[in-house]
Amino acid sequence: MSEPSDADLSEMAQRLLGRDLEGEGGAVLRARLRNMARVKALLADWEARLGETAPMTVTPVPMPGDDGGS
Amino acid sequence: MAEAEVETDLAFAGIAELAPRIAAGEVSPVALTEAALARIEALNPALNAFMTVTADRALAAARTAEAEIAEGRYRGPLHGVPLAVKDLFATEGVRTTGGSKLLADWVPDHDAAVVERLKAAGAVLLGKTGMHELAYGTTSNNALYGPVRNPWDPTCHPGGSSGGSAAAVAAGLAYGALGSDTGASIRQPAACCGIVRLKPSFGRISKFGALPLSWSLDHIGPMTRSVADAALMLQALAGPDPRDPNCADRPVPDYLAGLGTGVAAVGGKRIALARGFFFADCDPEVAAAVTAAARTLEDLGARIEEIELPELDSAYLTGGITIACEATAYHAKNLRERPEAFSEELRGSLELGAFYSAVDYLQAQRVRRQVCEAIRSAMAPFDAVLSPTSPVPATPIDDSPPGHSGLRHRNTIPFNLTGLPAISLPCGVTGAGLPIGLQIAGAAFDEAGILAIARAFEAASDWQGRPPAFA
Repeated sequence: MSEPSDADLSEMAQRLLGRDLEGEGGAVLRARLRNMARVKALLADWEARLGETAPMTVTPVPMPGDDGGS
Repeated sequence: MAEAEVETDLAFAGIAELAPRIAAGEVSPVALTEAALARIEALNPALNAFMTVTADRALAAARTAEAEIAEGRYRGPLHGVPLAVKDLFATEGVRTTGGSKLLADWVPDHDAAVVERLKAAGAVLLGKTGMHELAYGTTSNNALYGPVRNPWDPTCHPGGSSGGSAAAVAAGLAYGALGSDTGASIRQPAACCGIVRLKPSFGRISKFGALPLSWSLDHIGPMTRSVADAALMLQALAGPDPRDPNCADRPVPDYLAGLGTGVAAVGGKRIALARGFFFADCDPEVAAAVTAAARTLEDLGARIEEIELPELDSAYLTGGITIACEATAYHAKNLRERPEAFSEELRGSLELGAFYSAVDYLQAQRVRRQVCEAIRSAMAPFDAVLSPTSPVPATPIDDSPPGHSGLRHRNTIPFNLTGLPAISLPCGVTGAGLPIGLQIAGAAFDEAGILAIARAFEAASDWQGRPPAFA
């Protein structure tokens, strides 16, 4: 998974929030955007592996032998 | 018993130790409560652990408990014991803010299920504890209500988001507390404050009346100074509740029955020490303490095997997008209509959540299914899996390294994503005198199994019940 460059993060900040990454709160925003870029890259990397996998549903975590997801 | 005697002798006693003495009439719930309130009055101005102290209600509850016990109507081990409640849980007639300006004046007309259960068990509720704003953070440095401070070093954060509950229990202001945990918020503050915290299986404890952060990751659990006390609180809190659609309709076992010590407790158990992801960028003192804890269990006869669990980077990132999307969805209306009621920090986090698409979220839940299956399969041969609770100890409130924001919850969120139970308990202190936490995770609904291993470690080590410097 490739890491986003500073230029990538600045572009994301402008495009999504209309902000730059300098000044107060810039470091925090940079970290959040980097994480978001990593999530997007992760999902792209996983796409080929997902096949027929259904999304996890929100129910109690299963015990061995149970059906359904958590 | 005189109040002063209670304060000096029993402020750091365990619930398991107090309960039989309360039942026998040797210890007065009223005196215990008065002593706890006196400690809160003395120490809370510096720690900011409690946001709201309900002294009159607590004393009334203590008097009721004392009278019931005297009349032979003893309810069980929490009867007459002073406890604290994170300000995330609705409390009838008592302000519940969630650490947020949004709810600054909210006085619920009902109790959360867990508050109901503690009251039904006869516990004395001392008040509401401070937290990170709306539970979305790991330092409890709250812009509106001020930072909660760590009793081991008040210049440091106590972890979060349940930092007030952790600080209160560690400092001897309460005998136990309620916390919530979406990615780290029970176990990471426990590690920072040197106490025991249990995140049970998803569905084990009702979330009715708890403010959501992320519906599919939120868990509720007890925070105590000993493993036995965690088992006692879980016993009172666990069980089905039709008001929470995620609450499991499963029988509740006896969590105390399996607690033992020595070889008899863990001899022959197969326990994994999870290396790789959990130890990456780990503070060397934390790594050494957790490795030593594994050796302690090995000396007790456990079979320790070093493994690497699969797909943990994916678990971390999938957990992140899940929290971001679910939290933004829950707060969407208020973000539009009352944006000024959020701190800039939190509003920024929630706004970013809106930039994930529905497709992103669903793809993440598809990844989540595969990741959870892979982790559960890898854990299946073992009775438990050990890791550092947090790779980094507490740091100064105003000078926390930027990289720590991504590390504090890194080792805990995989067990929120999978819904598997995990407990954190003290396993050492750093050279700077700050606590280190050992995380023990287990199979679905095997809280009894991880409690038993935790108790055996606790008994074989000398980290339990050390009062912090500021207590």
